[in-house]
Amino acid sequence: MSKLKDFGALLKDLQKVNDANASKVFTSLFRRGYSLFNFKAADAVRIFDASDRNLRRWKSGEKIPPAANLVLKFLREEVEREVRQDSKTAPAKKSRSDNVFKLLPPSAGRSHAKKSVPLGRVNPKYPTTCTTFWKQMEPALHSVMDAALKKTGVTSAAKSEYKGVTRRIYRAAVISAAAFLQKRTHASSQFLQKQGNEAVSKAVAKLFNSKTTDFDGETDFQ
Amino acid sequence: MDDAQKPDLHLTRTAFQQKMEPGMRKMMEMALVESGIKPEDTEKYQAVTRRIFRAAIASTASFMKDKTGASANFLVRQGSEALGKAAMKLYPSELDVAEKQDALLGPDNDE
Repeated sequence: MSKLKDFGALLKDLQKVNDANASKVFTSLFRRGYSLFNFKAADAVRIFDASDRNLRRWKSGEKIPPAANLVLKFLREEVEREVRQDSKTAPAKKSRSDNVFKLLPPSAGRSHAKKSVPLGRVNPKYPTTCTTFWKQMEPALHSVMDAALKKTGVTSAAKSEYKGVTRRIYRAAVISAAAFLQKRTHASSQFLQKQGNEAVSKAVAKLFNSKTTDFDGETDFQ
Repeated sequence: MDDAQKPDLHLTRTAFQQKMEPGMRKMMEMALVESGIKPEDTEKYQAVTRRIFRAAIASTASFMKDKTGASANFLVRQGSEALGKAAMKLYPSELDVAEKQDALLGPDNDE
Protein backbone atom coordinates (compact mmCIF):
# COMPACT_ATOMS: atom_id res chain seq x y z
CA MET A 1 0.00 0.00 0.00
CA SER A 2 2.97 2.33 0.17
CA LYS A 3 2.68 3.04 -3.53
CA LEU A 4 -0.92 3.94 -2.99
CA LYS A 5 0.03 6.45 -0.31
CA ASP A 6 2.66 7.89 -2.63
CA PHE A 7 0.08 8.16 -5.33
CA GLY A 8 -2.21 10.01 -2.93
CA ALA A 9 0.59 12.51 -2.42
CA LEU A 10 0.97 12.89 -6.17
CA LEU A 11 -2.71 13.62 -6.51
CA LYS A 12 -2.61 16.21 -3.74
CA ASP A 13 0.14 17.92 -5.70
CA LEU A 14 -2.02 17.76 -8.75
CA GLN A 15 -4.79 19.61 -6.97
CA LYS A 16 -2.45 22.55 -6.52
CA VAL A 17 -2.09 23.01 -10.26
CA ASN A 18 -2.82 26.43 -11.63
CA ASP A 19 -1.61 28.23 -14.71
CA ALA A 20 1.40 29.64 -12.95
CA ASN A 21 2.79 26.41 -11.51
CA ALA A 22 1.36 23.81 -13.93
CA SER A 23 4.66 23.18 -15.65
CA LYS A 24 6.50 22.63 -12.37
CA VAL A 25 3.83 20.39 -10.86
CA PHE A 26 3.41 18.24 -13.96
CA THR A 27 7.12 17.81 -14.43
CA SER A 28 7.43 16.68 -10.82
CA LEU A 29 4.42 14.40 -11.21
CA PHE A 30 5.86 12.68 -14.23
CA ARG A 31 9.25 12.19 -12.67
CA ARG A 32 7.80 10.72 -9.52
CA GLY A 33 5.29 8.63 -11.44
CA TYR A 34 8.12 7.26 -13.54
CA SER A 35 10.09 6.09 -10.53
CA LEU A 36 7.03 5.10 -8.52
CA PHE A 37 5.85 2.47 -10.93
CA ASN A 38 9.23 1.30 -12.16
CA PHE A 39 8.30 1.45 -15.81
CA LYS A 40 10.62 -0.47 -18.04
CA ALA A 41 12.62 1.76 -20.33
CA ALA A 42 10.69 0.68 -23.42
CA ASP A 43 7.35 1.29 -21.71
CA ALA A 44 8.49 4.67 -20.46
CA VAL A 45 9.50 5.72 -23.95
CA ARG A 46 6.09 4.71 -25.19
CA ILE A 47 4.12 6.29 -22.39
CA PHE A 48 6.14 9.42 -21.91
CA ASP A 49 7.39 9.89 -25.47
CA ALA A 50 10.74 10.21 -23.74
CA SER A 51 12.77 11.33 -26.67
CA ASP A 52 15.88 13.17 -25.57
CA ARG A 53 14.42 16.41 -26.75
CA ASN A 54 11.17 15.95 -24.85
CA LEU A 55 12.94 14.79 -21.70
CA ARG A 56 15.11 17.87 -21.70
CA ARG A 57 12.11 20.10 -22.16
CA TRP A 58 10.06 18.39 -19.46
CA LYS A 59 12.87 18.21 -16.96
CA SER A 60 13.60 21.87 -17.36
CA GLY A 61 9.92 22.62 -16.89
CA GLU A 62 9.97 24.31 -20.27
CA LYS A 63 7.01 22.35 -21.57
CA ILE A 64 4.08 20.46 -20.10
CA PRO A 65 3.96 16.99 -21.61
CA PRO A 66 1.14 16.88 -24.14
CA ALA A 67 -0.10 13.51 -22.96
CA ALA A 68 -0.69 14.59 -19.36
CA ASN A 69 -4.14 13.11 -19.16
CA LEU A 70 -3.01 9.90 -20.74
CA VAL A 71 -0.17 9.41 -18.30
CA LEU A 72 -2.42 10.20 -15.38
CA LYS A 73 -4.74 7.54 -16.67
CA PHE A 74 -1.91 5.02 -16.77
CA LEU A 75 -0.89 5.91 -13.25
CA ARG A 76 -4.47 5.60 -12.11
CA GLU A 77 -4.91 2.23 -13.78
CA GLU A 78 -1.73 1.00 -12.18
CA VAL A 79 -3.05 1.90 -8.75
CA GLU A 80 -6.48 0.48 -9.51
CA ARG A 81 -4.79 -2.78 -10.41
CA GLU A 82 -3.06 -2.74 -7.05
CA VAL A 83 -6.30 -1.97 -5.28
CA ARG A 84 -7.99 -4.87 -6.98
CA GLN A 85 -5.20 -7.15 -5.86
CA ASP A 86 -5.38 -5.76 -2.34
CA SER A 87 -9.15 -6.14 -2.31
CA LYS A 88 -8.85 -9.82 -3.04
CA THR A 89 -6.57 -10.36 -0.09
CA ALA A 90 -8.08 -7.77 2.27
CA PRO A 91 -11.62 -6.72 1.24
CA ALA A 92 -12.09 -4.51 4.30
CA LYS A 93 -9.51 -2.06 2.96
CA LYS A 94 -11.39 -1.36 -0.22
CA SER A 95 -13.42 1.62 0.94
CA ARG A 96 -10.29 3.22 2.34
CA SER A 97 -8.55 2.73 -0.96
CA ASP A 98 -11.46 4.23 -2.86
CA ASN A 99 -11.09 7.41 -0.85
CA VAL A 100 -7.73 7.98 -2.47
CA PHE A 101 -9.39 8.30 -5.86
CA LYS A 102 -11.72 10.98 -4.59
CA LEU A 103 -8.68 13.22 -4.56
CA LEU A 104 -8.60 13.08 -8.34
CA PRO A 105 -9.94 16.13 -10.12
CA PRO A 106 -13.03 15.06 -12.08
CA SER A 107 -11.28 15.48 -15.42
CA ALA A 108 -7.91 13.94 -14.56
CA GLY A 109 -6.98 11.08 -16.81
CA ARG A 110 -10.44 10.73 -18.22
CA SER A 111 -11.30 13.97 -19.92
CA HIS A 112 -13.76 12.43 -22.36
CA ALA A 113 -14.99 9.56 -20.24
CA LYS A 114 -18.54 10.09 -19.12
CA LYS A 115 -18.58 7.26 -16.59
CA SER A 116 -15.80 5.83 -14.50
CA VAL A 117 -14.82 2.22 -14.92
CA PRO A 118 -15.68 0.64 -11.60
CA LEU A 119 -12.97 -1.33 -9.90
CA GLY A 120 -13.06 -5.03 -10.55
CA ARG A 121 -15.07 -4.77 -13.77
CA VAL A 122 -12.28 -6.05 -16.00
CA ASN A 123 -12.96 -9.38 -17.61
CA PRO A 124 -9.81 -11.42 -17.02
CA LYS A 125 -10.40 -13.46 -20.17
CA TYR A 126 -10.67 -10.48 -22.45
CA PRO A 127 -9.04 -7.76 -20.41
CA THR A 128 -9.53 -4.71 -22.54
CA THR A 129 -12.95 -4.10 -23.97
CA CYS A 130 -13.96 -1.90 -26.86
CA THR A 131 -15.31 0.62 -24.41
CA THR A 132 -11.95 0.84 -22.71
CA PHE A 133 -10.20 1.36 -26.05
CA TRP A 134 -12.65 4.08 -26.83
CA LYS A 135 -12.10 5.88 -23.55
CA GLN A 136 -8.34 5.56 -23.80
CA MET A 137 -7.92 6.44 -27.40
CA GLU A 138 -10.41 9.17 -28.13
CA PRO A 139 -8.88 11.88 -25.92
CA ALA A 140 -5.43 11.03 -27.21
CA LEU A 141 -6.47 10.98 -30.85
CA HIS A 142 -8.38 14.21 -30.56
CA SER A 143 -5.34 15.76 -28.97
CA VAL A 144 -3.12 14.67 -31.87
CA MET A 145 -5.63 15.94 -34.42
CA ASP A 146 -6.08 19.19 -32.52
CA ALA A 147 -2.33 19.72 -32.48
CA ALA A 148 -2.22 19.23 -36.25
CA LEU A 149 -5.07 21.69 -36.68
CA LYS A 150 -3.33 24.30 -34.54
CA LYS A 151 -0.14 23.88 -36.55
CA THR A 152 -1.92 25.16 -39.64
CA GLY A 153 -2.51 28.49 -37.97
CA VAL A 154 -5.97 28.59 -39.52
CA THR A 155 -8.68 29.68 -37.11
CA SER A 156 -12.38 28.96 -37.21
CA ALA A 157 -12.92 32.56 -38.25
CA ALA A 158 -11.65 31.63 -41.71
CA LYS A 159 -14.56 29.28 -42.21
CA SER A 160 -13.75 27.80 -45.60
CA GLU A 161 -10.03 27.22 -44.96
CA TYR A 162 -10.79 25.87 -41.49
CA LYS A 163 -13.18 23.29 -42.89
CA GLY A 164 -10.69 22.45 -45.61
CA VAL A 165 -7.78 21.71 -43.30
CA THR A 166 -10.00 19.90 -40.80
CA ARG A 167 -11.26 17.68 -43.59
CA ARG A 168 -7.68 16.94 -44.59
CA ILE A 169 -6.80 16.04 -41.02
CA TYR A 170 -9.84 13.80 -40.83
CA ARG A 171 -8.91 12.02 -44.04
CA ALA A 172 -5.26 11.73 -43.05
CA ALA A 173 -6.34 10.21 -39.73
CA VAL A 174 -8.57 7.67 -41.45
CA ILE A 175 -5.71 6.70 -43.75
CA SER A 176 -3.33 6.37 -40.80
CA ALA A 177 -5.77 4.11 -38.97
CA ALA A 178 -6.10 1.95 -42.07
CA ALA A 179 -2.32 1.70 -42.36
CA PHE A 180 -2.17 0.51 -38.75
CA LEU A 181 -4.70 -2.25 -39.38
CA GLN A 182 -2.98 -3.34 -42.55
CA LYS A 183 0.42 -3.43 -40.91
CA ARG A 184 -0.75 -5.36 -37.87
CA THR A 185 -3.08 -7.90 -39.43
CA HIS A 186 -2.41 -7.78 -43.19
CA ALA A 187 -6.12 -7.26 -43.64
CA SER A 188 -7.34 -7.34 -47.21
CA SER A 189 -8.27 -4.17 -49.03
CA GLN A 190 -11.95 -5.13 -49.03
CA PHE A 191 -11.96 -5.98 -45.33
CA LEU A 192 -10.28 -2.72 -44.49
CA GLN A 193 -12.76 -0.65 -46.44
CA LYS A 194 -15.78 -2.58 -45.20
CA GLN A 195 -14.74 -2.27 -41.56
CA GLY A 196 -13.84 1.38 -41.95
CA ASN A 197 -17.08 2.28 -43.69
CA GLU A 198 -19.10 0.47 -41.07
CA ALA A 199 -17.24 2.25 -38.29
CA VAL A 200 -17.88 5.64 -39.89
CA SER A 201 -21.56 4.86 -40.43
CA LYS A 202 -21.92 3.68 -36.89
CA ALA A 203 -20.13 6.74 -35.53
CA VAL A 204 -22.33 9.00 -37.63
CA ALA A 205 -25.46 7.27 -36.39
CA LYS A 206 -24.26 7.79 -32.84
CA LEU A 207 -23.22 11.40 -33.40
CA PHE A 208 -26.50 12.31 -35.03
CA ASN A 209 -28.61 10.19 -32.69
CA SER A 210 -30.17 8.21 -35.49
CA LYS A 211 -30.95 4.54 -35.56
CA THR A 212 -28.66 2.28 -37.54
CA THR A 213 -28.09 -1.33 -38.33
CA ASP A 214 -26.00 -3.09 -35.73
CA PHE A 215 -23.30 -4.27 -38.10
CA ASP A 216 -22.63 -7.98 -37.98
CA GLY A 217 -24.25 -8.14 -34.60
CA GLU A 218 -21.42 -6.39 -32.80
CA THR A 219 -21.84 -4.07 -29.89
CA ASP A 220 -18.69 -2.00 -30.35
CA PHE A 221 -18.73 1.53 -29.08
CA GLN A 222 -22.25 1.51 -27.71
CA MET B 1 -8.05 36.00 -45.44
CA ASP B 2 -5.23 37.32 -47.62
CA ASP B 3 -2.82 35.12 -49.53
CA ALA B 4 -0.11 35.40 -46.89
CA GLN B 5 -2.40 33.88 -44.26
CA LYS B 6 -3.76 31.05 -46.40
CA PRO B 7 -2.39 27.62 -45.55
CA ASP B 8 -0.34 25.83 -48.15
CA LEU B 9 -2.75 22.93 -48.56
CA HIS B 10 -0.33 20.64 -50.33
CA LEU B 11 2.28 21.27 -47.68
CA THR B 12 -0.17 20.89 -44.82
CA ARG B 13 -1.50 17.60 -46.19
CA THR B 14 2.00 16.16 -46.28
CA ALA B 15 2.87 17.65 -42.91
CA PHE B 16 -0.28 16.27 -41.30
CA GLN B 17 0.46 12.84 -42.58
CA GLN B 18 4.03 12.98 -41.36
CA LYS B 19 3.28 14.54 -37.98
CA MET B 20 0.00 12.86 -37.18
CA GLU B 21 0.70 9.36 -38.28
CA PRO B 22 3.41 8.62 -35.71
CA GLY B 23 1.20 10.05 -32.94
CA MET B 24 -1.84 8.09 -34.04
CA ARG B 25 0.13 4.91 -34.48
CA LYS B 26 1.52 5.33 -30.98
CA MET B 27 -1.94 5.69 -29.46
CA MET B 28 -3.20 2.66 -31.32
CA GLU B 29 -0.13 0.62 -30.42
CA MET B 30 -0.63 1.55 -26.78
CA ALA B 31 -4.24 0.37 -26.87
CA LEU B 32 -3.08 -2.87 -28.43
CA VAL B 33 -0.37 -3.40 -25.84
CA GLU B 34 -2.85 -2.59 -23.08
CA SER B 35 -5.13 -5.39 -24.27
CA GLY B 36 -2.45 -7.86 -23.28
CA ILE B 37 -3.22 -9.98 -26.34
CA LYS B 38 -0.14 -11.35 -28.08
CA PRO B 39 0.25 -11.72 -31.85
CA GLU B 40 0.58 -15.46 -31.33
CA ASP B 41 -3.07 -15.54 -30.29
CA THR B 42 -3.93 -14.75 -33.88
CA GLU B 43 -7.71 -14.70 -33.75
CA LYS B 44 -8.01 -12.47 -30.69
CA TYR B 45 -5.15 -10.29 -31.84
CA GLN B 46 -6.84 -9.61 -35.16
CA ALA B 47 -10.17 -8.96 -33.45
CA VAL B 48 -8.66 -6.51 -30.98
CA THR B 49 -6.72 -4.74 -33.71
CA ARG B 50 -9.86 -4.43 -35.81
CA ARG B 51 -11.73 -2.96 -32.84
CA ILE B 52 -8.98 -0.41 -32.27
CA PHE B 53 -9.15 0.47 -35.95
CA ARG B 54 -12.90 0.95 -35.76
CA ALA B 55 -12.61 3.00 -32.59
CA ALA B 56 -10.00 5.23 -34.21
CA ILE B 57 -12.09 5.71 -37.35
CA ALA B 58 -15.17 6.60 -35.31
CA SER B 59 -13.12 8.94 -33.17
CA THR B 60 -11.86 10.85 -36.20
CA ALA B 61 -15.44 11.31 -37.39
CA SER B 62 -16.37 12.66 -33.98
CA PHE B 63 -13.48 15.14 -34.18
CA MET B 64 -14.58 16.34 -37.60
CA LYS B 65 -18.14 16.87 -36.44
CA ASP B 66 -17.03 18.67 -33.26
CA LYS B 67 -14.81 21.07 -35.17
CA THR B 68 -16.85 21.88 -38.24
CA GLY B 69 -20.37 20.65 -37.60
CA ALA B 70 -20.05 18.50 -40.72
CA SER B 71 -23.18 16.74 -41.92
CA ALA B 72 -23.70 13.00 -41.63
CA ASN B 73 -23.44 12.56 -45.40
CA PHE B 74 -20.23 14.55 -45.55
CA LEU B 75 -18.64 12.48 -42.81
CA VAL B 76 -19.60 9.20 -44.44
CA ARG B 77 -18.52 10.30 -47.92
CA GLN B 78 -15.19 11.76 -46.85
CA GLY B 79 -14.46 8.74 -44.66
CA SER B 80 -15.27 6.37 -47.47
CA GLU B 81 -13.10 8.28 -49.92
CA ALA B 82 -10.21 8.35 -47.47
CA LEU B 83 -10.51 4.58 -46.99
CA GLY B 84 -10.51 4.13 -50.75
CA LYS B 85 -7.40 6.22 -50.99
CA ALA B 86 -5.77 4.28 -48.18
CA ALA B 87 -6.57 1.03 -49.94
CA MET B 88 -5.00 2.30 -53.14
CA LYS B 89 -1.92 3.38 -51.28
CA LEU B 90 -1.60 0.22 -49.22
CA TYR B 91 -2.50 -2.22 -51.98
CA PRO B 92 -1.14 -0.61 -55.13
CA SER B 93 -1.11 -3.89 -56.96
CA GLU B 94 -4.85 -4.34 -56.56
CA LEU B 95 -5.90 -1.13 -58.17
CA ASP B 96 -4.89 1.09 -60.99
CA VAL B 97 -3.78 4.02 -58.85
CA ALA B 98 -3.27 6.51 -61.62
CA GLU B 99 -6.73 6.04 -63.08
CA LYS B 100 -8.75 5.87 -59.89
CA GLN B 101 -7.05 8.48 -57.74
CA ASP B 102 -8.66 11.43 -59.49
CA ALA B 103 -12.05 9.80 -59.36
CA LEU B 104 -11.84 9.16 -55.62
CA LEU B 105 -10.38 12.47 -54.54
CA GLY B 106 -12.96 15.19 -54.58
CA PRO B 107 -12.14 18.87 -54.94
CA ASP B 108 -10.93 20.74 -51.86
CA ASN B 109 -13.44 22.27 -49.45
CA ASP B 110 -16.20 20.44 -51.20
CA GLU B 111 -18.88 20.34 -48.55
